This record gives sequence, structure tokens and C-alpha cells, in this order.
Amino acid sequence: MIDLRRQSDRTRAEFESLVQQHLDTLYAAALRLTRDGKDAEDLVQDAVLRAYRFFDKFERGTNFRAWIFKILTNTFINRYRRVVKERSLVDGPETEAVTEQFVSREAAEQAADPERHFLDQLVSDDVVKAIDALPIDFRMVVILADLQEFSYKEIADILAIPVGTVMSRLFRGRRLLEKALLAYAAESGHVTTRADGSIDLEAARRRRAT
Amino acid sequence: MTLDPFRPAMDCAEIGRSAEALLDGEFDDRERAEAEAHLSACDRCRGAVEKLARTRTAVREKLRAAMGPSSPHGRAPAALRARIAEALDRDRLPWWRRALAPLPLAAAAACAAGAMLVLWTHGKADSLAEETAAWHSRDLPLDVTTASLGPDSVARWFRGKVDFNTRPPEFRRAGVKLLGGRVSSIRDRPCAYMRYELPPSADGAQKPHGPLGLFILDDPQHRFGEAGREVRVGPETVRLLNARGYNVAVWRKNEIVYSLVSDMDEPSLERLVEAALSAQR
Repeated sequence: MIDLRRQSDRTRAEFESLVQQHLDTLYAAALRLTRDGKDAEDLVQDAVLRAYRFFDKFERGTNFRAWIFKILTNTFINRYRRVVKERSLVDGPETEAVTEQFVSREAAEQAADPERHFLDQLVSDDVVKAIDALPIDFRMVVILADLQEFSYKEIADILAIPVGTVMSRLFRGRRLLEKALLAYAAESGHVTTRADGSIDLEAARRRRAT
Repeated sequence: MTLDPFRPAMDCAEIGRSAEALLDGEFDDRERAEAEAHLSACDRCRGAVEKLARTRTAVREKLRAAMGPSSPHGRAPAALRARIAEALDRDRLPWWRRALAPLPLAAAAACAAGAMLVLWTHGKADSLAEETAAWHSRDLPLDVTTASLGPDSVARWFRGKVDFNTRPPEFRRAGVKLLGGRVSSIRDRPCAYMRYELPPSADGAQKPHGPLGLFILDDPQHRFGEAGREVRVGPETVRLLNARGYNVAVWRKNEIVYSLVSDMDEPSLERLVEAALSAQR
């Protein structure tokens, strides 16, 4: 009798060592997708078991991390997302070009590294809150790109979306995240925002100088 | 690299549209060369891209600190590891035994998982060698490359990103080429990471070696313990360890700790460290 779900001890050892290497990052991603510790554990466990059952389909020597992340995000989308009932976002056109932002930036800012300085004021809780506040479609690509450091192509494979969609979601997700981070920094009094939502670094500089 | 004179050069609008892809390392060699040609000629775009790069690096660092492997949000709870090991055990049983789901077996599996857990966490030890080898093995994209900055500017690039001067050992005489660097984080502290390429057959090996990873971090509190085989290189004590299939050389200069991770065999790594440290004096 052949039971497909039974794997040899060697396969089990191989699978377990691969999973062990990636368990922390899988959990970190699951935690940001579900925003709940218990749901994240369930999600990781489900995804790992599914991966184990399909491990014979995994081509040895290819990218295990991308493969198991695909299973993780699929499991999330199929099961948890329905429960969480988050508003899905329709991708809009790439509304703003980077150049538009370039124009409004003062030359003085380029002297030092003000971005780092201001963001340094943030505590980790604020960073977690800012990520968690992103709409789910943006949150997924930002986590995959900026925390897990997957390439555009890998993210496209993982989420089964075109590379162009990855790029536009990443672009908008990053701007939303930066805005949220700077808003938290502003709250702690280190950066002020102008009426149009841009950052008044000059005012913050003056304050620091006094 | 020469550019095709008949191809229109990348203009400001194109740079503006694709600056993120450039910084994310998504450009191929030719696109990168075109972008760099434009950036070296256009102050405004260069300033803008540099600013974007700083923001990107700062945000990524924040994300890593808040939810990376060294934060509580970035570590799988021990209970989850145990649960998964148990679930895998159950899954391996033939269907009829799974159907019966015998409790004692599950309990035994949990115990086995507990024992394994101890091995896992214990095996991880506290060692710098383990952490740096694990980090190196992920083969993450570099923040800066020698190709774009020149070999002498990479160490300088770390200024302001880590709180100490990064003075990498002198590998050049050994034919080891610097590929680039990125900011890493070892136990919540920023750390300079540099990746090097070994010359072909540095030790006569058949298979080409993977890149070398050099980690430089400050450790004023001496948090990183002493372990491994001790070798004296001039005034320095170098420790050689094995972690995750890599050989790792760790040494200290006052408050600065160096960890060099390589897939070379131990004698070759020892010779390389010796050559590099004596070239520095």
C-alpha cells in the first residue's frame, strides 16, 4: 500500500532542516499578515504541513524559501483572509512618478542623512503599527520585498501577479509606509508635517538647533 | 562597458520612473550602466536617487529591527516549533494509526520534539559564528557594490550607518576582490557586511568557492563569547569555528569584532586571514 503522505525518514529530515531554517521568517511574515499571534502560529503550521505533503513536488535545488512562502501566502489568502475580511484593493495606475517628489525636496536635505535621523526616533512598536495599517495587498508586497528581500520576479511568482503589479503595489505601499512612519515620528515631535502632508525638515532642524 | 551611441540615453523621466527598480537591484548590467551614466552627469537625479536610497535603507533597517530575526516579532515561538514537529510526526504515520490518533504516541512525539528543541536552540548556541554564517548563507542583495562605487568607497559608505569605522583587512594581495557591502544586524546592533569573491582555485579546489562574507561589528560589552580553535596571527588571536557548514574565523581588535565566513576548508581560511592581517600591519 502506498500512502502519498508518508515520506521517508530521509525526506522528513531534509524537509525539517529546510523548514527549521525558515521558520522564523515564515512566522514573522505570518504575524504581519494575520496581525495576531495565535492566527500566525496556525497559519504557519497549516502552511508547513501543506508544504510537507507536497514536498515531492518541490524541485530539489530550486528556491525553497520562495516555494514555501508561496504556500504560506496561498494558505493565508484562501483561508484566513476570508475570515479577516479585509477590503481588497484594486490596483490603480501608478499615480505619482518619483520625479514629482524629487522636485519638492530641498537641496539642503541632501547634505546629511535626515531620513535616518528622523526614523531613528521611532520605536519598534510604531514600525509594527505602521506596517499593520497598510492595506493587505500593499502589506504583502512590502513585507516580501523589504523584510524578506525577495526579488520582483519571486514576489510575482509567490503572489501569482504580474511583475508590473508587484512594482506598482510596492511603489504605493512604500509611500504609504513612509508616510505612516513619518507621521509617527511627527507625533513624537521630531518632524513636523506641512499642510500638504509633506515633511517640513527645515522646521524640525531649527527646533533641533535650539 | 560601452554604451550604444545610437540608443537614446536614459533621461530624467526614465530615471524617475525606475529609480526604485534600480535601487532594488532589478536592473540588468546594461540598464545599470545607462542609469549610472545618466546619474554621473545629472546632479538633480543623482541627489534624488541618493535620497531615495537613504530612505530605503533607513526604512529597511527599521523593519529589520522591529520584525527581523533578532526581534520578538521575528522569532517563531518555541511552542510552534514543537507543534510542527508533532504534526509532522503524526502526518508520517500510516493512515490507520493517524485515524486512531493514539494519545500516548502524540505525547511521546511532543517529548521527542522537546528534546529536538533543546538541540536546536542549543545547537544555535550564542555564537557569533552561527549568526553570521546564517546571515551570510541567505545571500541577500548588496546595498552598494564595488562596481558602482569603486573598491575604496565601500568602507566609507558605511560611515554614519554603523557607529564605528569599518576598516576591513587587506585581502587584495591575496587576490580576493571586494564585491560590495550592506548593513546587517547582529543581535539588534548594526553591523557592516562585506562580500568578497575569491580568485579561482585559491586552494586548488576543483569546485569554485562561494563568496566570502566579512562582518564587522562593535562589541564593547564583550557579548560574544570565546570558542573555537585558537590560532595566533601576530598580535591577534583568531578563532576558527565551524557553523552551518561554513568555516568561520573570528577575531577582535579592541572593541571591534570581525567574523569571516567562508566555504573554504579551515587551513585555507587560516592562511587567508594570516595573509590579510599581516598585510595590514
